Amino acid sequence: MCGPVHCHNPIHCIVPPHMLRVMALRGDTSVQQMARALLYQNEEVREERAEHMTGGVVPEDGRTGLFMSSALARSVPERHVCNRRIFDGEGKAALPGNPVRSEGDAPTGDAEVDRAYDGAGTVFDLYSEAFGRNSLDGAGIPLTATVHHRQNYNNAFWNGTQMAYGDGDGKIFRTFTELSVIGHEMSHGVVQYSGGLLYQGQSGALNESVADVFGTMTVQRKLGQDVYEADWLVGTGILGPEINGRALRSMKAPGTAYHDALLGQDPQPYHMDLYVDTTDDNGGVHINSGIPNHAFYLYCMYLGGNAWERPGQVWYRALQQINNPMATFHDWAAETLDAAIALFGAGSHEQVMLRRAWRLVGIAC
Amino acid sequence: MMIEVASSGGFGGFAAGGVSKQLDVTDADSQQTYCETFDPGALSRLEAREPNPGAADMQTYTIAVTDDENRRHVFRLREDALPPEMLDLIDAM
Ligand SMILES: [Zn+2]
Repeated sequence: MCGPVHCHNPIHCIVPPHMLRVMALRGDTSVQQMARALLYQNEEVREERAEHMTGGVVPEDGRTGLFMSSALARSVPERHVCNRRIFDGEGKAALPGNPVRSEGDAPTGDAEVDRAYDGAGTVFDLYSEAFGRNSLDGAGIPLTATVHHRQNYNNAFWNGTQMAYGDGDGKIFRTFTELSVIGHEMSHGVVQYSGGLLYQGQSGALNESVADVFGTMTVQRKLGQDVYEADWLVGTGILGPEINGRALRSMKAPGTAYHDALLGQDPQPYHMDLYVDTTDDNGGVHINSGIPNHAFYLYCMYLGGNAWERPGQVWYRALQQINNPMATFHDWAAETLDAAIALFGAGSHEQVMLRRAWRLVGIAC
Repeated sequence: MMIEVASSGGFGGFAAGGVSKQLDVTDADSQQTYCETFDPGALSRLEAREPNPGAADMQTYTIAVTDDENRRHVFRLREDALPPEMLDLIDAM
């Protein structure tokens, strides 16, 4: 039962699992089905709507074999309509739960429900107004979120289809419906629909970093803060009252967000010399994300202004263009440089400062 | 039958936010339900499934089941691989 898996399918024997995961993430419907079936090792594939699994990449016009983000490929401006659907998990694990607030409905009086609703709208507006993106998939997908997920649940997640927020146990976490967390989870959806970054090792840490970057950007834009006014924290105020910490992560000073007897020291590095090799946490995706997080912060310090303007545009374009779910930090840095050149020109201040920011975290590009 | 459950990871990325629970099923009210839900064969099939590759911030569960013949079966599963009924039982442990 727990012994070695016997390979009955020759394709499964030839194609390594990480490639199958890329195919499952990014292939067209038939390829996804094949890859997922193989990955499930002849188990019955769970029923999921194919539209939620598309990688969000489409063939680039006239260029065989090249792909670009479907969000960038849309040439005709479209009206963006926010469609929020908030559910109450009522302490249970089944998703999505009981519908409690849909688009246009009045506040419910349940703070978790109303923060999830308002936050989803704020994130939608960021992507729509600052990046011209129509919801998470670029095509107006409804924003589905469940609050009160499970009991004493210390987590929030994106499951490939929707967001879910626990209430916390009141000791380590007290809530997850803080705006940077909402922006973080929804941005995982944007990553998924932009071609994806495999959730393991450096590509997984990039996935985490992009979610932090756009999560903090959501807060800054909502508060009207420029890069010097912002606190650059992720998860401000979500830790329990007895925890010695301001937030869960700091992009300004990775490794300093908390220092607590129960949680220990914030383990995030700010430089490649401090990169953490670990098998925990999918290869340290929530740890080593500190490095690209800090590069974005430094870039913002060099450029000034608002994060969602020049720096954000560079990061967003890189995400749409990278077309490499197994990207390393170096791949990502190179893609951001290409984006800066495309947006602001070769030799531009934006390009030169970006290279400097990456060098400061130990990545030469 | 003894069930041990530990979880770690998720949005926080650390072990402290997870749970660590154990249950001697002979003491449980819903003995039959626990035995069926945490049957090692069922858990093995769940472990073999590939979770959604686009998902993020999922916790990881380590579930150890010691059967009546004192054999210990250990499984490592992402939380979205576990059916909601099982997660509800874990929350109730
Ligand atoms: Zn995340």
